[in-house]
Amino acid sequence: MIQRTAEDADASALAAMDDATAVSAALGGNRAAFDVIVKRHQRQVYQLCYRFVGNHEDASDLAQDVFVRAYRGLRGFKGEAAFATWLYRIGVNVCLNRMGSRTRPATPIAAMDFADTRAESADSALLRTERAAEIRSAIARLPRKQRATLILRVYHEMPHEQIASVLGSSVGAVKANFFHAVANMRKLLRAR
Amino acid sequence: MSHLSHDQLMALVEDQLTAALPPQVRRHVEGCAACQSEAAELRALVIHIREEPGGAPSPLFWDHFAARVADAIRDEAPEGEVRVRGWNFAGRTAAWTAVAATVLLGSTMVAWRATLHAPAAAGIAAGTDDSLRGDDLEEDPAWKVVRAAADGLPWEDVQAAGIAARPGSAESVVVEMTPEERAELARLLESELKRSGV
Repeated sequence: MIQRTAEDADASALAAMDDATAVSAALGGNRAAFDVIVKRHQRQVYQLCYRFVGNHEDASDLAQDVFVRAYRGLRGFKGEAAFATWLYRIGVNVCLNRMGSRTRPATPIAAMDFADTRAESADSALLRTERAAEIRSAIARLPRKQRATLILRVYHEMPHEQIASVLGSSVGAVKANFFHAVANMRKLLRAR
Repeated sequence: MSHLSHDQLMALVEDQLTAALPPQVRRHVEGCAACQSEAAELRALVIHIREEPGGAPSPLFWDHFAARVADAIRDEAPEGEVRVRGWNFAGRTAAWTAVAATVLLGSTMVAWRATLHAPAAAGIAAGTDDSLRGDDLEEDPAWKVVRAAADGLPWEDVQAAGIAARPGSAESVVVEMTPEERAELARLLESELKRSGV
């Protein structure tokens, strides 16, 4: 019982740590601290990966790879940027590198219907999933930087400055890439 | 003035235009149907793109994801950790677990060899003379090494290492050995202890 209480206290202390402190603890050999980091950022990292590859299997593999690389490179985190920015930078690099290699096709429409559609008619549910597939397909055809910029801006609602930090480019380049990404999306979606 | 620049247009699309916008630009937007139309179309498009729901894995996925990452990290054998036959162990206690695994594997192998190929001692062949084996064993320096390696070994660590052995398994195997076989096991253990730096 006493041991369990001590473990609970440790878990609470870890959960209360900010990212920088958790990183220091992980670097000191505390694996549980890195677990806290993973749990704190896993959904965002997974979603980032999913936006790039469009299917669960690759997204989960990529998300795992992002955290493994982050752990391996933890000493390289100097705290100059927010930890999330640093993690996103690894995530974007992992995803962009994977783009060159073969990935599974995006989740087919039939397997995509995770959302609660009880209140929807069958037609509108089908239409919604078709549109989602079209959007994913169009995003997949964007040039790399435009794709990354669009994903970070639209789905992760990142400020231009943070996107610039993640992508290692200027704020001006981010704004230009975002405009071209949206304009290209319009062309790609119109062409369908 | 000319139409909005890309930056100004995207700012308008994302509703970022504020009172800080230069008055001439604001006046242009108010009076330019083309810029208003373009901004409205792009805004609708961004909203449409944003509505794509993304991945929605099962809640169970999140329950296990951190453990999956931890396993992947462990498999990578970072610096400063001990890697033994596919298991990675950190620290002194875990190194003892590795030694225990070596004891079990080594002793099982030697016992198997002894059973099949070695000339059986009278007591072993009869299978009844436990008291004689026990008396000799306590004085055997090789057995002392085995005992020293296993002493203080937390059972949780043995389980965590995936070694499915009952307490006493190693002893029951080792007592079946001849003094020569125990000496060989001790030599192997000492060599493993040196290699692990324990």
